[in-house]
Amino acid sequence: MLSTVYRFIIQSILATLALAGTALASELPAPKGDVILTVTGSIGATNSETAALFDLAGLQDLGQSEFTTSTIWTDGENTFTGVSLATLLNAVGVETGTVNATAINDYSVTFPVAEALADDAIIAYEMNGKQLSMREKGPLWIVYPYDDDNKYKSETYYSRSIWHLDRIEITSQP
Amino acid sequence: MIKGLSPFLPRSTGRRPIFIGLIGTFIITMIAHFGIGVRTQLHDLATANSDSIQWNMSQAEVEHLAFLLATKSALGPAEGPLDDVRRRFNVLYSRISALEVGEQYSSLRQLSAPAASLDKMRRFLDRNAPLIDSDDATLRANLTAIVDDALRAHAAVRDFSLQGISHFSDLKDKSRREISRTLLSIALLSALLFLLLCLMVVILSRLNTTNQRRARQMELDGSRLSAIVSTSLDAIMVVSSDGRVIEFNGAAEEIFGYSQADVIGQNMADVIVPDHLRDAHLAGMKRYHTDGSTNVIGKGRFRIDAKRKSGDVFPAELSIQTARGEDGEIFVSYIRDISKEVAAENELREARDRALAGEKSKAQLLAVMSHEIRTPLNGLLGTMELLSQTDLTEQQTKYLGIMGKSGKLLLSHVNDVLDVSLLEAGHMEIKSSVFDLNKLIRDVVDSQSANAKSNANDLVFEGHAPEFLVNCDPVRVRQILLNLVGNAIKFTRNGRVTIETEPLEHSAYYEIRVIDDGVGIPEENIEKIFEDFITLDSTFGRKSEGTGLGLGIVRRIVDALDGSMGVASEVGQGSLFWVRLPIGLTQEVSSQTVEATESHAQSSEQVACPEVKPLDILMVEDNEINRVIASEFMALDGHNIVLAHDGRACA
Repeated sequence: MLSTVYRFIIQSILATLALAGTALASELPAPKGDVILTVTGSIGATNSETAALFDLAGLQDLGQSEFTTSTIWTDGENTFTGVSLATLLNAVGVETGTVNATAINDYSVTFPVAEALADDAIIAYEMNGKQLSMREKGPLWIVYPYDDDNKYKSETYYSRSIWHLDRIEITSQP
Repeated sequence: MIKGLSPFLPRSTGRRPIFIGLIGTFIITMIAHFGIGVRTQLHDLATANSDSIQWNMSQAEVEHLAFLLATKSALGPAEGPLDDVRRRFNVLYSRISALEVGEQYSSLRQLSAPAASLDKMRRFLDRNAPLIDSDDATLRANLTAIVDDALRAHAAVRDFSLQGISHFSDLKDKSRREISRTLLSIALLSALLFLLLCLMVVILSRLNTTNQRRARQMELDGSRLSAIVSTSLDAIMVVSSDGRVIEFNGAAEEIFGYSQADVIGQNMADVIVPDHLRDAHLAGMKRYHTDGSTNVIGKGRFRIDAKRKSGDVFPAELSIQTARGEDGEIFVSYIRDISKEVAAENELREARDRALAGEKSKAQLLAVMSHEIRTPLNGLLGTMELLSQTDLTEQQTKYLGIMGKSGKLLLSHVNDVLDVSLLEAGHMEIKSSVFDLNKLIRDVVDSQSANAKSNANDLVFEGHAPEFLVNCDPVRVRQILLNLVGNAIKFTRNGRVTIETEPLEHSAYYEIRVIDDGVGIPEENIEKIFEDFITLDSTFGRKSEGTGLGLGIVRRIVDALDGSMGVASEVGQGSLFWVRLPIGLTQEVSSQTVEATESHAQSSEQVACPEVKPLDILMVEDNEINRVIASEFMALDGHNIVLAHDGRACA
């Protein structure tokens, strides 16, 4: 409940920032380290010519989210830390359209922005306080709190749980 | 009676729904059981415990080949970038790790062949990971070896994915079969349950039909009953056990003058019980409630006084019965207003009393009158007797003879009337004695022979034995005989009158029959002839003199002697009169008694006049005429008479 309220407040603030960002695209800080996530397409904020680029610090700066859950790909319960998907979308000024997420291994999945905003997914960069390496499905992995809600225990959400994530393209078609 | 409908319901009908209910419960339990199974299976389906397993496994091979390709292109003359090699290795590493750890592959990993394949993959990764992590030069130097190793490991990746396909399709088939079996079971049970429900519907509808029929019957019974109650001519009143009026029909309204609304709910004691019976009524009710004893309930009809609205008390006939009502016992009363009947009854009784009194005074009048007539008549006859002994002309003697005959006839008629009136007034005296009936009859025959001859009839006695002793009143028996014989002679010309006697077998009665072959009696008149003042025959009516009292007297005497009598007759053939009288004694009887009685009978019968010498006689007689006549007769015989009016005059 409390987290919902927080999230609402944060989202509101970020939405305001994002609106501001539309006018002042340069306000999205440019990455200093290795770029691990590239967001392209119809986005409201960028920090390069057509894309919003994020290094680990850039993602961490957006605000951390964390939950503990079991997954079908790991052993036992694990605590995942990352940036909320909704927060990221807000940060790049996305309100509608479709998310097209692609992995290093070219695995790709699409889903509506509306659902991404509403769901509790995070783009995890840490598992149990340790940064995800590429050999542990890193550097980024979209994870849902599967244990909290049975709706996440479905093949749809399993397919959206994309690991080795490195690109997101937003298309305006719903 | 409508109450008793359910007992006739067969028991099995009552048990059947219970039985079906048990079966239904069992089936529902089974369905619930399978339902839970289905729910579990649905739950499993709802929360997929795997993503696309086949894709993941084939992806392992794809990623292995992608790594191989990247390594080969790095090995080529162009000396491709090593970053791609490293990335592809890491992707592959992640994939294989997922296969090793992922929950959805655990069942596959427990099989030996896939486990071996996976182990080979793991060893391939572990062998090459240090090389991939080393600097570019070392990696590039080992690229050829890595390619060879990857080529060798390729078979393991492929094997694992093929084994997975066969394993997971087996699992899927199994679970599909399980689901379909469960669904089939549920379908069967549902069908069974449906059939049971159909059966229940049939049973319930039949029960419903029965109940409806019963309800209809009850309604009919009820309306019939209410029609009976409302049309009853008797008042019907139903009272609760605490005395309040529950039902008051139309006849009750008419009889008591109350309307139904006036009395329903009122206490019966205040409404129809007359004041003088109220205490008794309340006491009776109380007694009934304490120990159930009652003088009236269920005791049939009885008379009691009841009260109308106007306060009039009237006689009523009442019958009370108890029945079971909704709130305990109720009393059902039928009440009939019998004031008219009682009035009629009283009228009738008064009329009877009046008639009896009239009858009695008539008889008394007759007795007195007869006596008053007889006394002067005796005076006339006596004087005529005296006159006949005086010197008379022939013409005077003739006239005197006519007068004497008329006088005697009148006397006999008066005697008859006197007899009847005495009998009617209950004054007839019966003096029983033992006598020979045959002798008595012979005497009658002797005395009536002349009379019979005058109508050219033979009078015969056909006795069965020389002597027939009976204990009876000889005077009355003689009277009976004289009347019957006289009658027979009267209605017979040139015929025969027969007297018969016969002791009746096996009874203490004897029968006397007087038979003639005269005119007979028409059947329609048979009953009448025993009535008083009856003279039937018109043909002989003129010739046969009589008051018509003869048979009436016989009937009264026979009754007084505890006997019976009757007649058989046919017109033109004659009549048979029979009289049955009690014998009154056993056959053994001392001859002494008989003789004594006979001598007495003789003395009373024959008025003998022995020669006596002249006497001095004091004669006391209050009637002057009698006194004169008697003294004249005695003087004619040569006696000396001193007359006195009464005892005092004698002195």
